[in-house]
Amino acid sequence: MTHTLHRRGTTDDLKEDYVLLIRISRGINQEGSEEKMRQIWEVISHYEKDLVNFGNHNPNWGPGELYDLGKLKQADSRIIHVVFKDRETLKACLKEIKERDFGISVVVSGLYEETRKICAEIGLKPHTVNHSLGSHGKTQLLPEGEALEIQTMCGHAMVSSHLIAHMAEKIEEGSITCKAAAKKLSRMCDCGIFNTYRAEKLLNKITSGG
Amino acid sequence: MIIDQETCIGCGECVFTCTVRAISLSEDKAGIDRDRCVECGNCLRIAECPTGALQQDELVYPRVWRKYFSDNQQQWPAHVRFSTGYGRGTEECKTNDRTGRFKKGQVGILVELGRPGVTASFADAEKIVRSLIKAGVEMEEKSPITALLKDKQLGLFPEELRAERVLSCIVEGKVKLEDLERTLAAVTAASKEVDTVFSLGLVTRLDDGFTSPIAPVLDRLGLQTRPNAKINLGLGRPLIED
Repeated sequence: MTHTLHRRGTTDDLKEDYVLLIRISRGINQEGSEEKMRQIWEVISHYEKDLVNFGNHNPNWGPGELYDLGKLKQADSRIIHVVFKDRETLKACLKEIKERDFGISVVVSGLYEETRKICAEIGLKPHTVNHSLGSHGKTQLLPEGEALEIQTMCGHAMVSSHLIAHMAEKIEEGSITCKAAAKKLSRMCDCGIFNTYRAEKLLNKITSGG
Repeated sequence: MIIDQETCIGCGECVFTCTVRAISLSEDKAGIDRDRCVECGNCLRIAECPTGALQQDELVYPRVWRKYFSDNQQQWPAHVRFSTGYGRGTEECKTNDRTGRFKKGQVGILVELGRPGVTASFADAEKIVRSLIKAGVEMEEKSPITALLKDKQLGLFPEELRAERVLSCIVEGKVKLEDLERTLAAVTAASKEVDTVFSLGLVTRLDDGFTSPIAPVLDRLGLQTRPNAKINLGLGRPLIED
């Protein structure tokens, strides 16, 4: 899936939403990559307190690896997903990954100009870019505003717009906090790319808080 | 998916988990609109149906393709397993530094139909595929959508597949940079024909690490890219340089 590419939001919103995607290439550097991926998880764990979300989509429902960095560090990951809410943590993590030279493909999904600056600052030369040209066709069928921003934070569209609306109602009733509602929505995203930090803020914006 | 009406207690837990609003409550029982359901499996995993009334029925062709395209915990069948085996089944730029899928002078075209929550039929996807082929786009062979085409020259799916709906699917191809303008015109024309929404992505190699060769074309057409993008940092080894 073009996965994280079409996340909606203003430039200011997206300053708190960077996704790091690391993946082996099927049939090219697959052999022996499991150990390298475990080493990359180890590097990522150095920034654990500042991370928003992470996952490996192994799939995650069986082994219960989603949200558990300890288990992920032991798993045979083909993919690594990590969500950052600030560029400085992302930059520090990327610098360490670059220095370790794992030879595995690394993609940053986030603000283009800011990511280019980060690359220049740590001596990286980006190879390829996938630009989003937004939505077309019957765009009137899409949810609007913050609901669309929340929904597009799962690239496989697994976060139900019905649940977003339901969570907003429960927040208004006072039966759930914005933080807990964001976490509940996040459970639908198996890949661990849903930004719960941003979702909490967006839920707060569309309700009177919680 | 099916809901056993004998055992459903109408608790409604499954209603809010549906990605396409196919589940509703009526007379204290939950029911599924099977035409709208894309078999994503979200309800089964998230709702934790207290009586087991919510069940995955055995899916056969052509309906089973709903599940492959919509349930990202469902592994793709071996003959269309081109990427990780899960998700939407495309690789796009994520490992381009190692695979060289998109080379200098080429532009990747990625049209993702149906997302988020709108859904798309293969008939919709066919309209995009046909318009891209007419514009001279080389369809990506290692893509589930291309693999499903019955006629790769004309861009036709098997008749029985056209009405099937999926949560989303990605049409993927590439063109020479000099053909980008013509291709974007074809995508614009197709956008008026589809009965769904689609997101458009353009993949390009970066000159000297930072300059996007498609920027002048987009400027000329008055098109703007969104502020966020996916950037392959070139850390794969050995690095594909061409």
